[in-house]
Amino acid sequence: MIVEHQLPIRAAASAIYSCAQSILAAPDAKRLRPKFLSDGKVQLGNLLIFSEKQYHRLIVKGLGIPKLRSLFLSPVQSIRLILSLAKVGQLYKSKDVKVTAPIQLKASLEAICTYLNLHSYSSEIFKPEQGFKILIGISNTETNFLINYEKQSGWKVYIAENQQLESASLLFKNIKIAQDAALGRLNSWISLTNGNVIVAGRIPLIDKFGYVARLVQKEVPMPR
Amino acid sequence: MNARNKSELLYQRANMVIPTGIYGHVAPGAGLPQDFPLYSHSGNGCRFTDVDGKQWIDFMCGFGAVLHGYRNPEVEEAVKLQQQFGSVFNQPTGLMVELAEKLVAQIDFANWAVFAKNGSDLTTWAIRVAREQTGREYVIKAKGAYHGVDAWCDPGMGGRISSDRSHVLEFDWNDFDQLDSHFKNYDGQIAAIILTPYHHPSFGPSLLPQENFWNRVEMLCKESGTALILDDVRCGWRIDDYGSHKYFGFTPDMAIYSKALGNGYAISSCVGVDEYRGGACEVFLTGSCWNDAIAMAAALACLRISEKEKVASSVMKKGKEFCEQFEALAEKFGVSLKMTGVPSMPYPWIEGDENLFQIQKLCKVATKYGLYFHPHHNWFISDAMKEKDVLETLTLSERVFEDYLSES
Repeated sequence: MIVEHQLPIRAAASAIYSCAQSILAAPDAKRLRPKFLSDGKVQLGNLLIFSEKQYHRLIVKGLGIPKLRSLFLSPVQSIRLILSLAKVGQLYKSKDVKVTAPIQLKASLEAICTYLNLHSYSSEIFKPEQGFKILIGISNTETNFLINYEKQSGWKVYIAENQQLESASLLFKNIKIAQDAALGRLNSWISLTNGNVIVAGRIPLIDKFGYVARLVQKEVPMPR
Repeated sequence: MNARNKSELLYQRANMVIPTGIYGHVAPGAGLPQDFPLYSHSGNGCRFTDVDGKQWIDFMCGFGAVLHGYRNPEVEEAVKLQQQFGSVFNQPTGLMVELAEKLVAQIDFANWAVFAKNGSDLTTWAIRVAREQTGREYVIKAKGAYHGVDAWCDPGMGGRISSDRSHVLEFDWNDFDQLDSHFKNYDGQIAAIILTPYHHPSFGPSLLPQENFWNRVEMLCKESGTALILDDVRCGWRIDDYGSHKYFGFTPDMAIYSKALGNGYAISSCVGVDEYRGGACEVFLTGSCWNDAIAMAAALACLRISEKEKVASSVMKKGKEFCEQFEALAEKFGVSLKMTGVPSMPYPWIEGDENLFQIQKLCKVATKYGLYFHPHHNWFISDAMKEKDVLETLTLSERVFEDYLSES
């Protein structure tokens, strides 16, 4: 059973895994797929086990100490895993916005989907929205994601292929604005009026999405 | 995009000192955030001017608050007279008694009246009165209906706890079987059902009651000892000069009015039958400025105007003429648009546009021509609208449709 106080870490872990899938070779990315243990610990690659506190430190400060036993069980694999984590960390320090922003945006959407699926209030308010789709994109780029609900998998982020399918759309004016949003630096209300964010379609759906996004922004640890 | 430098500067200042800058139904995100003005300056008749000096032909009337036109001379005269004496005191003024007597005389079922500032104040109070009088807890409302900002019914998401709505049941408007099943499942537990005269949700078409809907609802309430509360805040004085229940042919136990009651001066009223007077006496009701004599003077003037000039019939007629011509214009351009709801408060609905993309585009184009058409809310026909205003609107709308199609 998922305890709500574990949600921020779960959401952060899904965001990190999303980044890994975008920048690492498949075998290395797979090693960063998180497994949530019954006592709240996070296991990566069936190897390294972090306490919640250390995983939080890893995300925010880039340095978290895994359980030593897990580290010494397979030292070479452990080091590869740590290097993969470091690469993901570097993504958040890189100045190449064109490359990093779409990845960070997808990662933040993954964190939001974790909340849509597992946070009791967020999933309750989104229940009537199953069957509707939100397009999130960056204007004048090919970066477009679709947030959609499927019965088997819940709310998920997809790469949008057909822009005609969405029920509501949220477009960032440019890559820098999208990155600001992904990193929790955007004021949602001001950005609507100044054109940094353009919304259309089912506004109540966008409203709900905004509410959960701000909740995630407040609760989920981010790399700094 | 329209030039709105002053609006935007004000908004920047607002964001420093007001959470979200502009909140509620007038929040930029609820309309067209980059196209609607953010701040108004003044109004006259059926038009208003924003802070950047742009004049608009207004189809929202302050979201229904202004029925008789901005700065209606008769209303303003009554206000000016009372301003000589003052507004809020330690006691109410005689105007409170006069207004209560006027409402009781004008609304056929009403035996008493109370006053507040907003519709929300009294929709919440009315259900508490029903709970007090019946000794029951459950309340029924229509899904998607708006009854105010309190936790039991507000459309937002923040600050809610699980118990806020644990005694609120919903049904789909017009689905009498669903409503009936609530009465069966909660037999003897339903204090009140609160409904608008017809269904006028935001972000969706308006739905009139099906034949016999109101008669059946009224019968159900009488048989089960449930209070029938009419939320006439939005429709009041726009469909019938003696209460919207008259138009649809039923009798509620309580009804709440606001908006057009004050023509922009903040006032609301709940009227009710004697059966609920006891409950009304027991449920605490007050607000520092609720006995505001100026708003009451405005309300008395509004009621006089409505009765004398048969304003409800007037706006229904004006609305019918406008809607028919607007629909014809849409048809001419191949746009399948219907004006839903009642003619004095039409909601434009484009066939197949469930996600609202098309109506948003249309209203966005309309802003270029100074037409304040809202994409997400029913419109309101101002009684100050003259033939020349309608003609001007339709002439401009022709260009709106042309541009809309060329941009699609």
